[in-house]
Amino acid sequence: MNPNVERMSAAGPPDDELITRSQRGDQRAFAEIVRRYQRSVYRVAYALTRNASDADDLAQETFLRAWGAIGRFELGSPLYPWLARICTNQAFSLFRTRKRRPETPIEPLLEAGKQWGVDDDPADHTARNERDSALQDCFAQLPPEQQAVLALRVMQDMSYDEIAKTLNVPIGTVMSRLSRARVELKKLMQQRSGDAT
Amino acid sequence: MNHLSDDQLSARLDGALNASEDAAAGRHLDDCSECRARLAALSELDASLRGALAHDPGDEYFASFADRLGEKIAASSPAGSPAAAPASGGLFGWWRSPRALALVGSTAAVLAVAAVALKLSSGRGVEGFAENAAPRTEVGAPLAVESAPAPAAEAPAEEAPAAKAAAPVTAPEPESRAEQAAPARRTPAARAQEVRTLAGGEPVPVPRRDLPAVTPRATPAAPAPTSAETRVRKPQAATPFNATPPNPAPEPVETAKGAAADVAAPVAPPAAKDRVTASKPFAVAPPSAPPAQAPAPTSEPERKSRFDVRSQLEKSKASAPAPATGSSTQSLAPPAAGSSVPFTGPPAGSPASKPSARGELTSRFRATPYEAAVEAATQAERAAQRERSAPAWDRAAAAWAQAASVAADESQVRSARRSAADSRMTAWRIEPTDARRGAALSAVDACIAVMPAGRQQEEARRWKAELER
Repeated sequence: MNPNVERMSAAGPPDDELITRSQRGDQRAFAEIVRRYQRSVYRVAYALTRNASDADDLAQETFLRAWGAIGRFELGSPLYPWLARICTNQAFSLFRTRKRRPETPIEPLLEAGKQWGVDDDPADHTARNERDSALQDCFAQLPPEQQAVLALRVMQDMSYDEIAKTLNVPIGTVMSRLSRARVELKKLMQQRSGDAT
Repeated sequence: MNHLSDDQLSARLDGALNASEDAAAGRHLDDCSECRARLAALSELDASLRGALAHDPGDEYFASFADRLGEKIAASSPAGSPAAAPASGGLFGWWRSPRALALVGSTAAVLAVAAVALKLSSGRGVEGFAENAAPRTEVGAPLAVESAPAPAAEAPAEEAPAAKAAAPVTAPEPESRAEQAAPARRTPAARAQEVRTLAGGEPVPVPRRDLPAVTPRATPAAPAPTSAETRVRKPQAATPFNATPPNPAPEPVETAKGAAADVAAPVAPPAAKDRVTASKPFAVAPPSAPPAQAPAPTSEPERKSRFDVRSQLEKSKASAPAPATGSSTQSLAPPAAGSSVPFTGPPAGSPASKPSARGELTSRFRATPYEAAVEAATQAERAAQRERSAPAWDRAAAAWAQAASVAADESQVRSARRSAADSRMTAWRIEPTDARRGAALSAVDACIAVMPAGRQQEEARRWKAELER
């Protein structure tokens, strides 16, 4: 879901009021912010980590850091790009750590939310899982900056302007990174299918 | 046919092309099946990626997410207080901030380099003073004295302490303050003024590259300032070395002179100073080129009176509606000797030059009881924002209530009561006790009573509803 839509549909006090109250130490106001943005942040976290456990840690760490830094948040600025920036920065940090200490995540199929539906054809299901798995592997091979722009664009439907604000880069950089990421991903997928056959 | 680039296709897919580019790309795609296929492949890739990277852990996960996070926040802060998750991080918070660490590290590095440089320069200074002081002083002294202000004037403010600190190191076992300061000032000047020996053995001073060619007698020279004077006359120090200073007033007034003497002794050796005084001193405006702002003093009493700050002030008081001096700027500092701008108060025509201006000005800057109360309340609120605790917000609310009680008009009452209610609400939200709810309700009711219908009143009503839930 587009986080903008999510924000507009959210009932209750506006973001600025919640932020002001949080800045004064009102934990309940911050909890409301968390409820409002938890799904969006989790979505980015999962897209970047492709691991439910890591996504959970990353999402929690994002809000923890946001709570610590809410005093410095500039009122009037959109909140979600700020949260997404914290999330991507944390993810980059995690990538760097993983690069030094690689791990092999073992994710059960059910945890990935790929349960068989009633109408699912087992053959289709297997094929789709294989494709998704291949895509995830190829996506993981992209540089972190390209992963971030693709995740924010594809998973969050963020505009180039919002992505630029989130990643603190010019719009032109967003455009070129997205283009390169797509081309690279396509190439990696083609190589993979070539290897498979 | 020029095909669309990857960037164009990617931007077209995201709807990020501008109208004309989008129309052009659309026309091309109508005719080019290859580009259409590339665009379709990109679109398919995005759709697949959306499915591959999506994951919904379920409503239960999100229902408990905020609570689990709240526990983490409470665990990470002492006594479960949200105040313990401040942005600043406390006394040693900088240790966790990479930016602050970098700042501390770079400062330490700069200090280390400065210390090494100081050590080296002091060693060289002693050596230079011991071995080369005599011949260099002889040849270089007149020039050194006249060019002495230049290094001080060009030196950035940060270097001043280093220069001051160098003085005692440079002078080995000085017997008096004058001896202590003199080598310190002379050594850089002597170093700055290189001496080259000609074939005949005659020493010739070599002009410095960073200074204009020195013409010893023609250029008006300022007496070498002490470090204290350098600070006092900082704006003047920016004047180019060979330019005519707009306000030639380097001689300090009595008080400044005394202070300067405390810091460092006269910088030039007596002989050199005599020479400077004998030549056209910078301190006295040359009669042939008086400053444009005001005439030079014509009589001795008048000249003397410039050194007496008190008499100047009394004089300026007596002649409050003074005639225009031609200068629109007014310095509050006492005038220096040689300064051609007498301290006569503000220029005519300015509001402060009216006889009653001082009284008006004073009354304008005297805080009313309401302003004083608002200041106190603002301080209390800032403290509460730092502490993030309910009692701190209670104190802020009380301060705002006090401000409301001394408000002079309705708008002040509204503003103060709204702030009081806001602070009470915050205190209650942090620590919701019955007492705080009651206090917040009273404050909100008081706010609603004076607030006209509109956004702020709606907000106050929302607070009330929140309290009554």
